[in-house]
Amino acid sequence: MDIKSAIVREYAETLLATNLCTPDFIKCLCELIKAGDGLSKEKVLSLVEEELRDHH
Amino acid sequence: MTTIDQVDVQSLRGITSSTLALNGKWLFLLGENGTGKSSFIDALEFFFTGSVAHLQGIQSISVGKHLHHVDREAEDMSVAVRFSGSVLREVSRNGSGVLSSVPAQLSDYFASAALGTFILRRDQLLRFVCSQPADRFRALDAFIGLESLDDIELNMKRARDEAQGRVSGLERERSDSLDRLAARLGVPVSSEQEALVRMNDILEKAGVSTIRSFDDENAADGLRLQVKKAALKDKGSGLNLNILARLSALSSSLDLDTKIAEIVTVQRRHSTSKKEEKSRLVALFNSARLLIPGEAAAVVPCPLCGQDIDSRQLLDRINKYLNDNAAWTSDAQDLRVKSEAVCELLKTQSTRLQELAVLLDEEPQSAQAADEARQLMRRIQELQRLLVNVEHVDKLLNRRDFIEVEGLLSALCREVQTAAKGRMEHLALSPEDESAKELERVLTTVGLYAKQLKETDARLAIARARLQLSDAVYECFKSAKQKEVQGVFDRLQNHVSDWYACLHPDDEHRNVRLGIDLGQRASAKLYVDSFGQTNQDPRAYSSEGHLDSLGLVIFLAFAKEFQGSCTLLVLDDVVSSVDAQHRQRICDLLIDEFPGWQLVITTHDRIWFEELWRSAVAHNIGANIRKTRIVRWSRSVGPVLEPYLSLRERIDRFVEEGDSDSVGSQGRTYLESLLKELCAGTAASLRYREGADYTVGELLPALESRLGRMDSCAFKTLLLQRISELRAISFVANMLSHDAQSQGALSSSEIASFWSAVTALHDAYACPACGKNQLAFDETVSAVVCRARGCEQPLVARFR
Repeated sequence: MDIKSAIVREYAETLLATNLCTPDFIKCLCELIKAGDGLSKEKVLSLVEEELRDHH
Repeated sequence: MTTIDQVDVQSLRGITSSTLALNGKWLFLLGENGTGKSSFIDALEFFFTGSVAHLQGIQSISVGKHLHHVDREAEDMSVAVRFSGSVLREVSRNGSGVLSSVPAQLSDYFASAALGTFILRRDQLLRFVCSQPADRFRALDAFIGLESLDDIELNMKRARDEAQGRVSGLERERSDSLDRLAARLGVPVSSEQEALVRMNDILEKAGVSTIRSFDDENAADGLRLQVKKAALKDKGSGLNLNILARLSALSSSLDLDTKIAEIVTVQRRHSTSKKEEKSRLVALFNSARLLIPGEAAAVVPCPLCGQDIDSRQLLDRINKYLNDNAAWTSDAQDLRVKSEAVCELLKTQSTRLQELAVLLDEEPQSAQAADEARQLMRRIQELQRLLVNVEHVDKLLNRRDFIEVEGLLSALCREVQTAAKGRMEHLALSPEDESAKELERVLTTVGLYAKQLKETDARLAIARARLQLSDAVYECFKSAKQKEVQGVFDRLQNHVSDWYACLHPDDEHRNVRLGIDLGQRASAKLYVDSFGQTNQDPRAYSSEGHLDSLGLVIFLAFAKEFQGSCTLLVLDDVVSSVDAQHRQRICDLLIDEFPGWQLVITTHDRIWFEELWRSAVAHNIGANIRKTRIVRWSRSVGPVLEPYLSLRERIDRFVEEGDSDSVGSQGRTYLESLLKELCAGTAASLRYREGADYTVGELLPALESRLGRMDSCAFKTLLLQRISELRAISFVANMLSHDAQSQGALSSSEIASFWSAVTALHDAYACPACGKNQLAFDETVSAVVCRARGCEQPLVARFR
């Protein structure tokens, strides 16, 4: 496994362990990270907003 | 393994047109400064990456303007590289940066090379070691390929910081609300609920019913009613104060009796029936005076009858008449002034009465007074009309009318004043009303602030949830990345530390480590244990040469780990500040650790170049090395290349060609150099001489004497045998006898024998165990030892 994939996997596991968000949210984040160029600051904030609105 | 056979460069940097042949081998490229060595490296970088890093990011310098040859255009520039293989595989990049089609077999090689990490320039080494941890991380990031993740991490951090900013703003707002509540309630509070408790304490203390919440509008009805009444009283008080203020303006003495009496006196003097005629005559005479010339002509025709008249006489009579009637016109004027003054006074009173009537209308108990005020106002307005044009009225003014009106006005003022003062006394707020009023104010403002606090708390809860998740998104990513990158550093740890120890075996710098600073987003800190102190910054105790070699081993470790299919490694003049002994070790390191790679090493240092070559020969890879020298450079031609021959190779060639003179002169130099090396390697005793300019006649006896003290061993026996063979050569015998015999007198076979004996001695000076020519004297054990990496029997020969 290359380092990038290892980081994304480790990230997903760590974030899941916080119990602060849903697996769907983590999956979406990880896909954007793998894509490499789709995760701007605004996108992060909007994902967080969406997650809080839908699941909290 | 993919290797490069040839690099063809056109119009790039200092190269006009040149071909660098590698034949799939390592290339050692020797050239003076400014002869175009680095231009070839730039060409390789441009070919694989489409750019040249050191021409970027500097003001006024750019690839577009400065990569092509100074006398050519950018479109003239091109680099073509031919790769090894059974089928001809050539790829080129033109001046526009467009790469020709890359064969499928080379695609992985190109993908790895495109990162540009295969080149290490000397200036990068020290910069890397001395840079900040974050910059150092970025340099390593180029190998690891995590730049895109760095950007994402930064965006996550910015998102977290923005969420933090929102929370901080709302916390400030909340703190302000609490401060305002504390100021109103007189005690500090920390929540809306606590504010409610404190508010109820105050209401309870005041004997007012408490409230269930700040939204509970009906809970304090009693209080509010009381306050409302007080407010009404307040309003009544204000009205009556206004009424009293108007009265004070009205009650000032008019003194109409006196004023009207004066007017009547003047009126009497001014009898209207006579005065009207007089008035017309005065007007007529005034006009006539303007028509009659008064100075020049004494007799003029009358304007009415045409008879001659004495104008001066007539003018005198007119003036006399006008003077006689001056008193009359003065009375009329006096009458006008006096009547206008009284008229203005009455007008003011009339206006004030109107204002008073309006105020009295608002006070229910003063309806009658308001009517009276309006009636009086109308009467005053009638009197005003009598005073207009009084000088033209025959009838005298009636003083009693004015006196009566003034009397009525005074009576009305007294009556209204008494009533207003009475009401004022009745309307005065009680202490209870005052405290209710204050309490109501506190309740209203505290309620408002508490509602603001509640709203802020609600927004803050959302913002905190957003921050908590944003923080987790960022921190988890940061820690995952740090963990994996630290894992990479740990994997490379052994290489870095071992290689550095290999380059500096006798130094007290050990255990070089790369570590992530957990407090930073992206960092690469360097630690080394120096002089017994752990975790030191390498810059604390290391020389520039040490720092260079530290940067080199880190670069080599990362290149070996991450360069993937690209096995090309270019070292552009990287060992300038390293001494000879350490350079030797760098040679060994490169040869031992990168056997399957293709190395391109450039230098301006001929000694380092020779050492590299000798090290390669000692490792039996001489056949896999291509040595090239840049003979000269000019602007129009560029670098001129030719194969480089070592001194031994050159003498070999002279022997083959039968060039006795060259073998004699250069063989002597070679022998002197070899004997110096042997003397140094055995610690032979020589008298000190500045410049170490010893002859063979001095060196050889010293060496033989020293070998006499060496313990018996095969190494000693072989060396003595080779020296003996050398002494048997007449040319050498001549050298030893200081007889400057001409080499020209020697036969070709004698010269060949001489050179054969010299090379045999050189070859004998090698480690019997590993065969490498890296021997040195070790004072601590008083022995010749082998310094070659991995030699299993480094102790070669002891001395007694």
